[in-house]
Amino acid sequence: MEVMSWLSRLNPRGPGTRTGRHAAPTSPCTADPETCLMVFENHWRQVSRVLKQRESSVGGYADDLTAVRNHTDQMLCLLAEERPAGGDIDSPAVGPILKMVVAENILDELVQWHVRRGLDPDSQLELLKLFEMLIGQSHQPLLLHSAVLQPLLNLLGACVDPQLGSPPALESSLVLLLNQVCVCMAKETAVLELIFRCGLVQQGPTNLLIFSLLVPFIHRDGSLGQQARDALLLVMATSASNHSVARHIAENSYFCPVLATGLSALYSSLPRKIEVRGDDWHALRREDWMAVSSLVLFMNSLEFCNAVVQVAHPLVRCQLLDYLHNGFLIPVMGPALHKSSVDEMIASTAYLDLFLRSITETSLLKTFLRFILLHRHDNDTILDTLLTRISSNSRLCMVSLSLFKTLLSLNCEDLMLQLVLRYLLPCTHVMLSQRRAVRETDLYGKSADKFLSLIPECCRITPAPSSERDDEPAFWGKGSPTSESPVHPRPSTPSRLALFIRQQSSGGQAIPPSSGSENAPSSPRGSVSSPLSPDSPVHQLPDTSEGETGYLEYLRDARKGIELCSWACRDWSAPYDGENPSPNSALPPPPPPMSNPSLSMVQEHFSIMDPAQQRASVERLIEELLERAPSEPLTGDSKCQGISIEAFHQELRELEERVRERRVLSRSSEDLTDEDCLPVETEQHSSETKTESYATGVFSPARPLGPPLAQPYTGPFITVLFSKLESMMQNSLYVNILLTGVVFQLACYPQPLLRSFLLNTNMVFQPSVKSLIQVLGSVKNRIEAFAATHEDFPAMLRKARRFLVARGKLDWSDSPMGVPTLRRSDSLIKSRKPSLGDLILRHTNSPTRARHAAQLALAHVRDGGQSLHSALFRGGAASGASGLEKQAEALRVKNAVYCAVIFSEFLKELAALAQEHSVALPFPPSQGAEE
Amino acid sequence: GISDGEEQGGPGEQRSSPTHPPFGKKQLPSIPKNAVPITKAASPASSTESANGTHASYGPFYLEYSLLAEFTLVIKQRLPGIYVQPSYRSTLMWFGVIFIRHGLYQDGVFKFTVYIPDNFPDGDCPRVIFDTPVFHPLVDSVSGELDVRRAFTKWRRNHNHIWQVLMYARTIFYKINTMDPLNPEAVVLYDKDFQLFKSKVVDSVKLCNSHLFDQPKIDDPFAISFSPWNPAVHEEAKDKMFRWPEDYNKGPLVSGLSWVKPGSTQPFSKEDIPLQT
Repeated sequence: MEVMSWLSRLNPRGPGTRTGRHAAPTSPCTADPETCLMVFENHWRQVSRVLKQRESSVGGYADDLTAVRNHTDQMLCLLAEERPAGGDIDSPAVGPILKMVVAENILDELVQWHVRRGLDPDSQLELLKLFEMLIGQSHQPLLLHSAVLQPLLNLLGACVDPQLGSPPALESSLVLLLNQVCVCMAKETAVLELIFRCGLVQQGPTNLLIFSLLVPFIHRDGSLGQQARDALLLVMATSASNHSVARHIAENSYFCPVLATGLSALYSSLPRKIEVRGDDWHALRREDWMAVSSLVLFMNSLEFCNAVVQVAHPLVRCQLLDYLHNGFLIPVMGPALHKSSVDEMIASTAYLDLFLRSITETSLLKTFLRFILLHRHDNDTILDTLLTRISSNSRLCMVSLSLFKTLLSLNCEDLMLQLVLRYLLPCTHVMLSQRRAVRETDLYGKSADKFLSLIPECCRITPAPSSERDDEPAFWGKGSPTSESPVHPRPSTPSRLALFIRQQSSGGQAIPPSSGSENAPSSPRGSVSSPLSPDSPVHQLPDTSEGETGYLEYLRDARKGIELCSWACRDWSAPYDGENPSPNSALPPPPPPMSNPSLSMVQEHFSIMDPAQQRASVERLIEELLERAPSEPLTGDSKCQGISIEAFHQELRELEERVRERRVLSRSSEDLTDEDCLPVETEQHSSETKTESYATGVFSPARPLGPPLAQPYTGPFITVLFSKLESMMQNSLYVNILLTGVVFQLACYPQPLLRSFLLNTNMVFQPSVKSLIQVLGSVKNRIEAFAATHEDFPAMLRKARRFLVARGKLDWSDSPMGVPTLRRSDSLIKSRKPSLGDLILRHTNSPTRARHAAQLALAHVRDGGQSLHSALFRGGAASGASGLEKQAEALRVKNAVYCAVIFSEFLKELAALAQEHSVALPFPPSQGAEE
Repeated sequence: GISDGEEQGGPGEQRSSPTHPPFGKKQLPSIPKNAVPITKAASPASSTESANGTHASYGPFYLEYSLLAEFTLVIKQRLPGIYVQPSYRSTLMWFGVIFIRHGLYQDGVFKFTVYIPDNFPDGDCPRVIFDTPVFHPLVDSVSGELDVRRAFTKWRRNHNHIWQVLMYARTIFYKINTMDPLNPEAVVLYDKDFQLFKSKVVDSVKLCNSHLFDQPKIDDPFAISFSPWNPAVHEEAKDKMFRWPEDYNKGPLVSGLSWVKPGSTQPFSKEDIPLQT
């Protein structure tokens, strides 16, 4: 039925598009059929006279040609307009004109005559157009008659040189005609068979001319390419059940190789560097790529591949997938993802993300995933390479996080196995006595409580000046819910309601058939199919007690996330609960990576060092900056108010890079000393010292030789995410938004191994295994330490919160009047789900309120947001050295303050996830899961 | 409403119900005189502090989620012949019905309500009150309250769960226990005149079933109510039960991806369907 909907999209061009001479024939169809036939016969008599006259003397005169053309025009119009009465779908009536055309093989004679005469381009064009009109407008299935089909094929054969293809002047008419033929073919499946058989007789192995003529146009841009692709898809769809045609396409046509290698060619013309202005840009959205013609071209072809995979015969599909894997992904994508320049890495990662988001066909997705998970480029799987980039500098990190967000959203078992689960399967990360606890659910909210307890004291809501109060997020329990309504003393949490709804509609055990609906009109039961019906108590809440919605929103998101994820994972091969698959049966996961040259290349400056080192490093950086300051003033004039964080980051990064290079150089000859060794917890992605440090036993000094064998290792993904989380204070706002979004998504997975590892705060892990709660605890301490040393922290926190709220509001309003730099960020906040936006703004149902909010938001952004920026960057007004120093400090402060906001919200999110997991029900596997 | 004046069972040694050995020693504590089926709203602060400590404002969520988690456990247990559903107004009140399929009480359909203390899981055990007092040694003949405490002397979080209470409520109809009854008359008959006991049970079952189509005792949108089969209403509902909510099908376009062979931990280990050539 997919095919059907797809076919309906292709509307064959109606007669309305006709132009020129054929536009308005004197509508003879209104005349009675007999008259039409007489007129037709008359024309034919005159034409055949010419044809016979000149039988012997090939060449002929222009007069003859004109005469034949004119008569042919008339005849074909009559044929096209003929509407035979009677008949039915199975055996359509044949009109008298068509009967005559078939009986006397008129079209064949005409075409033969032209061919013998020698077809000049003008005549070719004329004939192609004529046939196109005929096929497109006829009311009868003409192509079912070989007296029509055969001359058409002869004409096509005559127009196109097998080697050179079709002359450019003919292209558009040719493709249009082919498109029409394919549309007919889709309507009358028998036509395909007929074309195929005609082809066999005529052209031998290079048959299915229609098809091979279209293939060269696959990757064309504009409407021509689109028509060709549409036509080809019609062939694919029609031949999906025809084994011999499919086999022919696979064995005798260049369709699949052309398609796959064409993608490679198109890919190579994509920009190597993506020009972006916003410092929050992290993924290619439609608006981004629609403006880049080479990308549009590529996406069209990729979309076409996707469609072919969707409709084609399995033989063709498999061949295409094979070619895509071996002809595009491995030779082109692989190297592209391993390019050494950061710009190219960013571009190729963003492209891969875009491709993955655009593909809808499972088997095509499988091909991509297989490539990502299994293909090794220079010993590393693509996945390994992509993972390391999360730890890199901010832009590459953001693009990579975005890619992993996409990957996680696929809910693919194979991917999750490689990424996380295979490291948790052996259960070596938990104490032996704790293994049973893997499956336990947190019945009484202990874990949620633990997460909430990590919200730094300094981030708890403090009473704000009354003017700001509106913007403060309200939290549950701020007011006193008990005073409100004695009848509804408690919040109706999303889970509670959803549970009923799901139970009722899924036939779960607990609900007997009953008839509650008649006597309880407001019952959610009456609106079972729509969980968010206005009747349901969920929706009553925002009105009755706005203050409760903050945490409720998080609960609702958590519920939705978990439910969608468990639904999507219902056909996985195992529950991953610590027993199945058995911890003992699992193959030992790969050990921590030894060394990875690409790693050190893109190392982030802050993330891998301990605070002391960071400070030292930042100081060194600032020194460097100061040295360079006079020649390249970063600040000084009023324009600097909107200073580009990106540029500054870039600057920092480059310097950092140089500093490190120097350090590596100076160090490479000497032995590593202890103080140079990185802390154990950052081992996975420690950069330059990796190779040496491994050999000299940084991981476990007691065992200087060989890799630490039994050391539990939770895998590179967890490691890199945790180390990035640990450096939250230094991450940019946007990195943190994406990062927490990815962790949220990971924590939605219902598999007990993963769930217990991330969210069960009561679990006791092996001492060497770092838990999420530990990581978060360290961030909490850092935030509190920071707040303690900045007395204006509460004010900055409020401003930061206000700024984020304002951005969130813009998202909601979706108003066209966004500030350009903000527009870029919309998707970011949105992609990070409701988060702050949702938290504070709940005007979704009222357009007026939304608009109002948007206006408010804009005002806030100007006054509040920008003033935050300028407040934090006040140092920028000064020029020279001290300004630079202040800027570096300002950036640090800014990141830290935003981090405090995000961190607190993130904890609520995790708490909500922990609670929702405890009430989640597994879905039974779908029927036919085994295909 | 439920009247006062239930009998108080005297304390004393109880035999372990053979079907429930894990419940440990059974001591029958006193049963409160007032069985008022309205759950009082606990103030969020107080219930929180007792339960979880640090985050007072989130306390109500913990309670509600604890109860929902209990409910989830009930569903996972797939208790035979028992159906429950938390009320619309409060998660502390659950409506339920038990279908008895054989034994003395065969064909009985008993509606009941479960009342959970608002300091759950740190309080007393939940109470179970039958809508119509069933003639049974452990069911109060006036209030309809089932003697739950004999099986759950002390409610222990993490060990005791509401599904166990429900299971217990079912078991009493299959395995009659006459010790320390709430309904002494029933016990007397059971011991002295079993035939009369049986006929009273039959009458009681009939009585209960005759009230099956009554309006629910408690006016609540989620109260369980029965009505005769009405295709116009029930066909659709039944149909829905066997279908997934459309929302799920509309979910992510690509979902449920797995090419892992069951028993394997290798990606893409599942065999492709061989192609005919």
